[in-house]
Amino acid sequence: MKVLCEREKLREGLTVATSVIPMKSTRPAVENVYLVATDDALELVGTDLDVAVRFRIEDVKVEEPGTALIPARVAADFVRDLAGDTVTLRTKGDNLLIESGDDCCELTTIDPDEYPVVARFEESDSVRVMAATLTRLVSRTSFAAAREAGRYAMHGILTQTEGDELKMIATDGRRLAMASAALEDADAGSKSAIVPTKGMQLFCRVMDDPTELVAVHFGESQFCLKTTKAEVFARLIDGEFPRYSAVIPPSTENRLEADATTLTQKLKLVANVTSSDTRAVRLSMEKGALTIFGRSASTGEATAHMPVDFDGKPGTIAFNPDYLIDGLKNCESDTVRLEFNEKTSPGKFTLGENYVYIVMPITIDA
Amino acid sequence: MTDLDAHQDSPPDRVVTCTARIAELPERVRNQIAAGEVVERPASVVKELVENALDAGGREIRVDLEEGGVKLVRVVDDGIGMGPEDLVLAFCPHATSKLRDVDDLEHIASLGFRGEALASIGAVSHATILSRPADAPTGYRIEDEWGDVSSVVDAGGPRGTSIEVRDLFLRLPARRRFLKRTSTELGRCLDILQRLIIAHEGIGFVVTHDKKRVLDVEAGMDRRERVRRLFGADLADALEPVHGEDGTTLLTGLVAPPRFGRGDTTRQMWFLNGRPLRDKVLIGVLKQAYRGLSVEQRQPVAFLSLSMDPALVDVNVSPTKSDVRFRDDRRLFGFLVATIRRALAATDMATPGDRMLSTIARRGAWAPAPQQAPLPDPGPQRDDGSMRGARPASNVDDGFRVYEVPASGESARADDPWSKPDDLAGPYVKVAKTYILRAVPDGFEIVDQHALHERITFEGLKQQLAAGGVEVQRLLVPELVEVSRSEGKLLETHAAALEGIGVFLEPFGDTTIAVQGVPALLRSTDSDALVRDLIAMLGRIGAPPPATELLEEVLHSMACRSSVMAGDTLSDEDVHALLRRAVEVGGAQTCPHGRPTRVHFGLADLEKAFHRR
Amino acid sequence: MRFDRPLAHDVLIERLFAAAADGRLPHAILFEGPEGIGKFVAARWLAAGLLCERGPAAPCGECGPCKRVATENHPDLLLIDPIAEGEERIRVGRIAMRSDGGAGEEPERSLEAFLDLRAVEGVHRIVLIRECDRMNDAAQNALLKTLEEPRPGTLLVLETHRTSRLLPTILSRCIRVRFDALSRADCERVLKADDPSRPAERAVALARWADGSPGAALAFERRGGVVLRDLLGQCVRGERAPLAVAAAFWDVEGEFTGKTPTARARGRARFLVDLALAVWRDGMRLSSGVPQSELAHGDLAADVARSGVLGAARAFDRLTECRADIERNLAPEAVVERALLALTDRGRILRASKSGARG
Repeated sequence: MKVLCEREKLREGLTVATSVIPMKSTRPAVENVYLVATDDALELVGTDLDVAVRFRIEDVKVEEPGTALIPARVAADFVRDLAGDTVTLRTKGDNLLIESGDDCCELTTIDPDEYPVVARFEESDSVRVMAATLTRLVSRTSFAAAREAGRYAMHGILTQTEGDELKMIATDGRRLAMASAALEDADAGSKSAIVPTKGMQLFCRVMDDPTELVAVHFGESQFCLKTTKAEVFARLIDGEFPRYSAVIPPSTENRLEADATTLTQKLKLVANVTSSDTRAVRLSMEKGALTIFGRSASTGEATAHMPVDFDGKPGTIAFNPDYLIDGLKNCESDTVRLEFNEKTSPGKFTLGENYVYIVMPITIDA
Repeated sequence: MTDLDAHQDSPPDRVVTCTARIAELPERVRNQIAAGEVVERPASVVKELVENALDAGGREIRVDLEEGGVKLVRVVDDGIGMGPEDLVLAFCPHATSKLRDVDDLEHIASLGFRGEALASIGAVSHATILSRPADAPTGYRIEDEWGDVSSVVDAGGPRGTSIEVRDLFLRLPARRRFLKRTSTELGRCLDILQRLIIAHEGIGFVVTHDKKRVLDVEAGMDRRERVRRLFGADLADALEPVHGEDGTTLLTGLVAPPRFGRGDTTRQMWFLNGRPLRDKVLIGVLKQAYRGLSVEQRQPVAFLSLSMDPALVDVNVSPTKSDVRFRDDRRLFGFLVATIRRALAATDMATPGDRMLSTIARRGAWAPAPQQAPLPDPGPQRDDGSMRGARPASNVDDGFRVYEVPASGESARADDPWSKPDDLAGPYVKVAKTYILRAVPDGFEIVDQHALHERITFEGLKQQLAAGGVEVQRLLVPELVEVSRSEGKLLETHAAALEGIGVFLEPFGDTTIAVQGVPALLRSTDSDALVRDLIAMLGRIGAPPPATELLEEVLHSMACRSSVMAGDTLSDEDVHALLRRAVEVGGAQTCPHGRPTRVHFGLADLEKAFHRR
Repeated sequence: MRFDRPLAHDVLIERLFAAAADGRLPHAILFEGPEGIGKFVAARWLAAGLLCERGPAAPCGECGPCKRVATENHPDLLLIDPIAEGEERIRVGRIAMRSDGGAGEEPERSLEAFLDLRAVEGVHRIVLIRECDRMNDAAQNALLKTLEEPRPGTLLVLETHRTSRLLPTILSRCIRVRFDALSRADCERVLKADDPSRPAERAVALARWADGSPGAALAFERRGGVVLRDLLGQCVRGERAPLAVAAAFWDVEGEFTGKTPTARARGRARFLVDLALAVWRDGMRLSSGVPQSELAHGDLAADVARSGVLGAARAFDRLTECRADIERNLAPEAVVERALLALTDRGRILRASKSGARG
C-alpha cells in the first residue's frame, strides 16, 4: 500500500486507536494497529478484543490500496514526534515505511490475517441519537453498575429501545439507576443489549461534539457506534440482566420531597460518624420534618434535621449514605422525591425527568 | 523346601554356608541397602548414636563432627557402658536390648526400637565402639569395617561408651553422590541435635564441628535456657509456657508469639514421651492453634512435650519412625489445640513489622524498631486547618516533593505526651497499587491496604455484633445459588444463627438458595462464594449449635472476601479514611489472616541504616 | 501454537465434525484416553476446524481464522495449557474471577471472563483445557458453574488421561469421547513424522515399547529410556552386577522434571521401577501363554519367564514395594539399588536352583 496523508490527522487517529490497544496481550497480534487503505480513505483499527475502534481519515491520497499490521505504540510515538506536515506510508517488502520529509521509520509488519476481524458498522437498522443524549444517559446510570466480583451481567449497562425512546439501566444488586431519553427516530422498534460499562465510557470519549447526530446499531454480539470520524464497537455481555422491573414499586404509601442540595449536605454531615463500623444512616420522617441520624459504636452519633414535604405514615428507613450521595450528585432537579412502602422494601428516588434511582434499605435486626 | 523358602528363611549369618561365593556379597550388600532406609545421611547417624547414648544413661554427651559428619561422627557418653558380650551383639541386626518380644511394641516408652541401627551403620562406614562398664577394670573395643565385624579386644578408656563412625558411604559412590554440601549436612546434624538437646533437660551436651565448639548446653539448664543458648534471647524471652492435662495425657512446653513464625519447621519441635518426632497430626495441631494469628505459610515456633500412655500411641508406622498413630486423635487434637491457644492468648501478638525489618537487618546492621502503639485520634484540627502532617519543604517540578520529618533532636515519639498527634495525613506514596507509604512524626510507615481493610471490616462486624445487631444490606434481586439437598438442609438448620450475623438466606426450591441480604459492611459479595464458605464451615463444625466462635469464623472469611483488593487504586481521601478507621477500631496491626497490616520505620532505624549511629 | 493434523483417530474426528455440521455438537466434551496418544492435538484440530472459514470440517490452514488459531491470535479461542505454561496445577483464577489473588498480580483473563462477552468474530467461542485433571477442587467447582448454564455458541473441550481425578459432577455434564491407544503401525507413523531423521529401527522399537502412545514413546526417548532400558536388560540377563548398573544408571542423560534435584532423582527412580514392572508384567504374561511378539518387552520378558512363575512373582512384589517406597519419599538412590537387587535376587535363585543348592 501507499498513502499520503496529513500528519496531524494521522497522529489523532493513532492516538484514538492506541487508546484501546493493550500494552501486553495473550494474543500478541492485538498489540498492533491495523492500517487499511481503501480507494479514498485510510482506516486505523485498534482493539483489545473487548472494544474496538475504526478511525477513518478521509482526506488522503491513496496511490496503492492495501493493508498493514504494525506495532501500535512505536508508530504512534514516531508520528507524534515528526516535524513535517505530511506523511507517506508505504510498504516495502515485509516492512512499512513511515516517511516525512527527510525522516523515515521502517517498521516490521505481521501478516494481517493474524489480526482479528473487526466488524463494519451496519447502517441498515441503525438508530440515530444526539451525542449529548447518549453521554447523558451513560453518566446518569453507569455509577450504579457493579465494579467488583459478582454476576458479570451487572458489570454492564442494559441498553434498550422502545419506540422512540432510548433507555439505560445499571445495577450492582443493591441499587439501580434507570434513565431514558428520546431518540431522533420516530420508531426504533424494540432492541436490547447489555453493554460493558467500559465500552460505554469509550463511546463517550470518542464523541467529541455533543451536538452531533450519531448512529448506534444493536448487533448480534456487539454494540456499535458511528460518528463522522470513527466507528466504535463493544462486545456485548452474554448473560442475563437481573429482572429489575419487579423491584420498582408501582405504588407507594410514603412520599417525601426534599431540597436536593440540603439533603446531600445533611447526609454528608451525618455520614462523617458512620463510616468505620456502621454503614447505615436512618431517615426518620414525620409531617414536615426529616431527621437524619447515624451512630457508630466507636465514634459516637450525629443527628441532623431539615424541613421536608412528607405524606405518609411517620416512620424510619435506613440507607447506606454513600449510595444516596452517589445518586444525589446526579440529581437534575432542585427537589428530590423519595417513595417507599416499608423499611425493608426498596426506596425509589426520582432524580429528574425520566430518571429513577432505586436503593435497597439497610435493616438492623437486633 | 523350595528355592523361595530357602532364601526367605536363611538368617543372614547362615547364608555364608550355602554356595559361599554367591551368597557372601549379597549379604553385605543387603545390609548396605537396608541401611539406606535408616542411614540416609550423617544426621541419621547422629540421631541413632545420641539416642543410644541417652539410653545408656549418659548425663554428659559429647558429639564430634568432621566435614558435616561425613568424615566423622563421634558420640561419647558417660553412661553404663557395654561389656564384651554386649559388644559382640552390637553390630548384629535385630540385636536390640530394648525390644524383647512383640508385646513390647505396645509400650515403646524408650526412645526407639532401632534393632538394626548399628549394624546398618557399620555396613556403610568404618565404625568403632569403645566402651567400659562402670564396674569393669578395663574397656573393650569392636570394629565394623564395611560389614566386616572384628572380634572384641581389650582397650583402655574412660567409663562410658564412645562410638566413632568414619567415612560414611566412602565405598558406595552411588550413595555418596547424594550427600549435599558440608554446610547442608552439618545443618541437618545440628537440626537433629537441637531437637535432642531441647528434649532432654538434665543432660549436658557439647557439640563440635571440625574441632570448633558449635553447641554447648549444661545439664542443669531448663528448656527456656536451652532455647536461649541455641536460638537467642529474643525468642527465649518471648516464649509463653504451655501446660494442660487430659486424663493421663500431659502437654507441657513453650510456644512463641506468631511473629516468630518461620519459612521452615526447624524451630517447631514436638517430643512424644521424650522422643523428638515430626508428625503430620501434630504439625496440624500447631497450624490450627495459630490459625488467624499467623500468616498461613509461616510455620509457628514451639517446643512442646507430650507425655502419654504408650498404649495410646502406635509408633511402629514408618521405617523412619517420624510418624506415629494416636489411638484417639480427634480428642487429642481438640485438647492440644485448646491448650496451645490458651497459652498463645497470653503472648505478645503485636509488632508485625518486626520480621520484615529483621530480614533487612541481616543485610544492614540495624535492629527492628519497637512497634508504634495505635495512633491516637487526631483530635481538633491544627490552627492552619490543613490536613497535611509532614510539611512540604519545597516543591520540585514533576510532582516530586520533599517532605520534612523532624530531626532526631526534636524527634517526636508516639509515647511522648507533648508530641504532635499524628493526623494520618498524606502525602501518600502508593506502591504497586498495594502499599501505601507515608511520613509519620518520627519516621515513616508502610501500610498494606488490603490487609488493613480486611482487618477494619472484621473489627467493624464484630463491633456491630457486640452492639446487638448486624446491619443488613437488602438485595435488589435475590441472588440464587445452587446447592445440594443436604447442603440446603444444613443452611436451613443454622438459618437463625446466620441471620444473627447478617446473612439472610431463603430456600428457593429444593436445591437453590436465595441470598436476600448480606452484612452492609461488606463492599460487595460474591454470593456464590459466600454460600460455599458457609457450607464448608458449618460442615466442619458439625452438630453442636454454632457459638460466637463460628460467627467469628464466618465474619473472618467474609471480611477477607469483600475487602479492597490489592491492586485497587485508592484516592488520597480513601487512604485517609482507611487510616482513620484503623485508628478507630484499634489494634489493627494484623489482618484477620495474621499478615501484618503496617510496618513502621522509626528515625532510629533510618539512622542505623545510614550508619549515623 | 501450531495445530497439526492428528495422525490417527480419523473416525472419531470425522464424527465430531459431522455432528458440528448438523448442529449436534454438545457444549462440553471430554476427550479421555491414555496419555500421549494425541488427544490434545485432536482437540486443537477440532477447534481450528470449527473456526475455519470452510468449517466445520478439517481446517484448511490457509484462511484468516486458521492462521489466527495457528499463531495463538484467535480472539474466540481460549487455551488453558498447563504444560506449555509450566504450571503443575490449573488454579481457580484461570477458571473464575477471584478477588483473593496475590498482591500486584494483574487479574488473569479467566475462562469465565472469556465467556462473559459474546464472540468477537463468529458465533463459536471455544475453550480447550489440556490435562484438565490438573484443576484443583476449587477450580473444578468453578468450572461447574460454566458447565451448568452453557451459553449458545460455547464449546468446552476438556482433555485428560486421568478421568478419575475429575468430580463426578463435571463428568456428568460432559459428553465423553473415548480415545484409544494407537496401533503399533500408526504409532510408528507418528514417530517418523515427528523426526524423519530418527533411525527406522529406533522408531519401531519405541513404538513397541510405548504401547501405542507416541507421546509416551517421545517421553521415553527424552528421558534416556533407550539407554536405561539397555542397562536394565544387562541387569536382567545377569551380564552386569546390579550395583554397577545402579551407579551407571544415574549417569545416563535424560530429562526429568521437578523443582529440586531430589524430585528429579525421584522421577528417574520412578521411571526405572515402572519400566522394570512393565518388563515383569510381560514376563508373567509370557509365562501364561501370550505370544512373545505381542508383548512390548518380549525380548526381556523371555529372561524373566525363565525364572519361573514364583520367582517372577516374588521379584514383582518387591518391585511393587519399591514403587510404593518412591511415593513414600524414601531415598530414591536406595530405592533404585533395592529394585535392581530384586531383579538379581531372582537371578540368584535361578542359578541356585540350577546348581541344586539348598538352604
